[in-house]
This record gives sequence, structure tokens and C-alpha cells, in this order.
Amino acid sequence: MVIRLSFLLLFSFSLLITPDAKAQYVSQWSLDAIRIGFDPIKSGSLLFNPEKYKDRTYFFNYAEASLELLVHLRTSVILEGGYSHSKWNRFNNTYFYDTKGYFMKFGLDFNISEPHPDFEVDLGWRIGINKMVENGNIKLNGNYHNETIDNTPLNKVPNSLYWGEIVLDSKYKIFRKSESKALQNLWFQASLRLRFKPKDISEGYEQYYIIPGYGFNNRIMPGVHFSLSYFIKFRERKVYRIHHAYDSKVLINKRVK
Amino acid sequence: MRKLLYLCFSIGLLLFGACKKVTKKVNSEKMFSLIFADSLSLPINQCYDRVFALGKSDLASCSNFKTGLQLPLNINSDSSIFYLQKGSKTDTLILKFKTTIEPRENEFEVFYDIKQIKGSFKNTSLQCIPELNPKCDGNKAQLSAVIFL
Repeated sequence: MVIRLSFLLLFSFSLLITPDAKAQYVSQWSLDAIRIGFDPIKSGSLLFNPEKYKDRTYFFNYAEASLELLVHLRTSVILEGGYSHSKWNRFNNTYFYDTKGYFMKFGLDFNISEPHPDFEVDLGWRIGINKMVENGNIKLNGNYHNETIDNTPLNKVPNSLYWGEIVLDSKYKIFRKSESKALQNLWFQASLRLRFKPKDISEGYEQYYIIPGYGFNNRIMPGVHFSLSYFIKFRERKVYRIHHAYDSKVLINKRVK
Repeated sequence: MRKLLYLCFSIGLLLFGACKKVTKKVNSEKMFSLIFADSLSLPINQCYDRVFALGKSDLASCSNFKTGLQLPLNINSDSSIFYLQKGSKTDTLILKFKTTIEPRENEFEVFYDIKQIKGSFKNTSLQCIPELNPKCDGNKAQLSAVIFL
């Protein structure tokens, strides 16, 4: 009798809930994929010796790499780091300025486009910090007496700076139609940056022309970044969940493959 | 998509290509102006056979009554010696100074603070000409001298 009654109750309960149960895709906070990238355009400068190009107006050795951790359906944690060595020949071969240093950036990217397998537009922010060393050399010539002045007002002067960045990033899958899985995971991204620093450093006339990772020593500095990245997916992000319409009790919680 | 990729690489190449060689050389020497005046203290034109510095080649040998005789000051020394030759007579001019390098808007400039003027001329007077030296104030920095003949 009890068993019959139980079956009847279960049946009536199932009739009651089935039409009102709701299904949805939900996102969860979990590390589902990573994207490892580097700047293929500026990093090419590492192949050149800056000492050889001292007579150029401007020359740099620059490398930057990034790590993106996809932790949510639309949110990524970003870590960027790099090295920059810039040489600036100022005032017609009379002032040779040199700055080099390492920089790190931390931030978040939010996918503002509709989730798409081949394309993504992100809006994000970064906090950057660097450690830099400056050198400066004044060389003046006197034509008649054939004399030169070789003065070094800056000799390995260290400094550190932090700044903020607003990022608008677009990512494309390069080989969408390729059958090779490895090629399919190659992405190219171009991003526009707006950097700003809270502290204005302008003390010392021959100092702080170029700040590694930031750019020229302006309060606001725009920038363009390119990156070639490889996308490694660990698992699908989406979870198919059916929950009760009244009390949101989860009835089915299944990861989509 | 690939077009965008090519475009980005082209921008990179352009960046490298745009950095031209800087071939221009700046002469940082400044001219000291030697003005000759007559007994009435009026500037006059004066010519020598040869004007030169120690071990160096010839300089302009004629003095214009407006700009004087232009003598380049050494940038890496605290003195300059000039010889003014006319016939068998050679006059000497020794200028003692202190140099400082100061940043300007688009250059580094050498300033001369003339401390002393010596030589074979008996009656000389240091002059301050602000157009020749922005630092010129009173007797501190002079870049010209008047020689009363």
C-alpha cells in the first residue's frame, strides 16, 4: 500500500514539475582554457644589435609575451610581461639616450562580443609596473679646434613606475578552415591601448624620455599591440543545467562535450 | 583576415624603415667677437694678414666694424689662444673661461664664462652682448671684447 502510494506521489510530482522546469547554459568560474601569445612584430627587433644602429633617430629591442586564463564564459585573467631597450639619438647626434627594463602587466579582459568560435572582441584593463635603468651620453663637437665633449649625465640610473591601461582587443582565428587542429588553435590579435600614469616624472632634463612597457613619458599614451597566440582548451566551459522553476533546485547539471 | 596580418607586418617594417640615419653634425663652438675701436671709441674695420689659433688653420682675417673678428672658442678647454699677424708683427690674445653645458629646448648648448682676457693688446675691454650669450648679465659672461687701437 505504501509502495503504491509512493509511486503515485512520484508520478504526480513529475507531472507537476516537468512543464515548469527550465533549462539554461550557465557559466562557471573555472580554468577551462589558456592562450599563450607573443608580439611577432616588435619581437623581431631582438634580432638586431642596437649598438649598430646608434646613429638612427630611434631604435628599440622589444619583446612581449602574454598569458590569458579563461576563467569564465566572458572573463579572462591576463598576465603580460616583456623587455624593452630603447635608444634615442636626440638633437642631431649630440645626446644619446638609452633606457632598458622589464615590465609586467596584470588585468582582466571581458568578451563584449557574442561568443563565437572564430572571433572575439574584448574590453579590458591592465595595471603595469616596470623596473628600468637609464643612461645618457652628451657628445658635442667643436669644428675649428677639433675638440669633443663626452659627458655622461646619466649612468645606470634606476627607477620604477606603475601605470594603468584600458584595452580594446580583437582576436581572430587565423586558419579557420584548416583541418590541422594545431593550426586551428592559432589566433592573431590586435589591440588598442590607452595608457595613463598617475605620477608625472619630469625631474632632470635629460631623463625619462621613454619608459619601458609604457612608451613616451606623457601623462596619457596611446599604443597598438599585435599578438600571435596559441589557444589551448582544457574543457568546455558551458554547463547544461535544468533547474526547478519555483525554487531553482538543480535537477540536471551536465557538462556539454 | 590574412590581409590584416600582412598589413600589421607592413606597419612593423615601416617602423624600422622610418628610423633614418642622423648624419647632421652640430658645431657647438661659439664665436668670440673681437671689435676694434679707434681713439674716439668708434668701431672700425681692421684687417690682418693672418689670424690663427695654436696649431690650427687660418681664420677670417678681417674685422667688420659691426660684428668684429670672429674667433672660435674651444669647447673642451679653459682657454683659447689666438695669433693676429700683420707684416712682421704678431699680436696674441689669450682668453680664459669656464664652460658649462646647459640643456636648451632642442639642443645642449655650451656656455662660456669669460674670466680673463690677456695678450699683447694694451687697452682691452670685455663687452657683454646678450644676442651672443643669453646668460650674459653684467660682467659675468662676455663673448666679445673691444680693443682700442
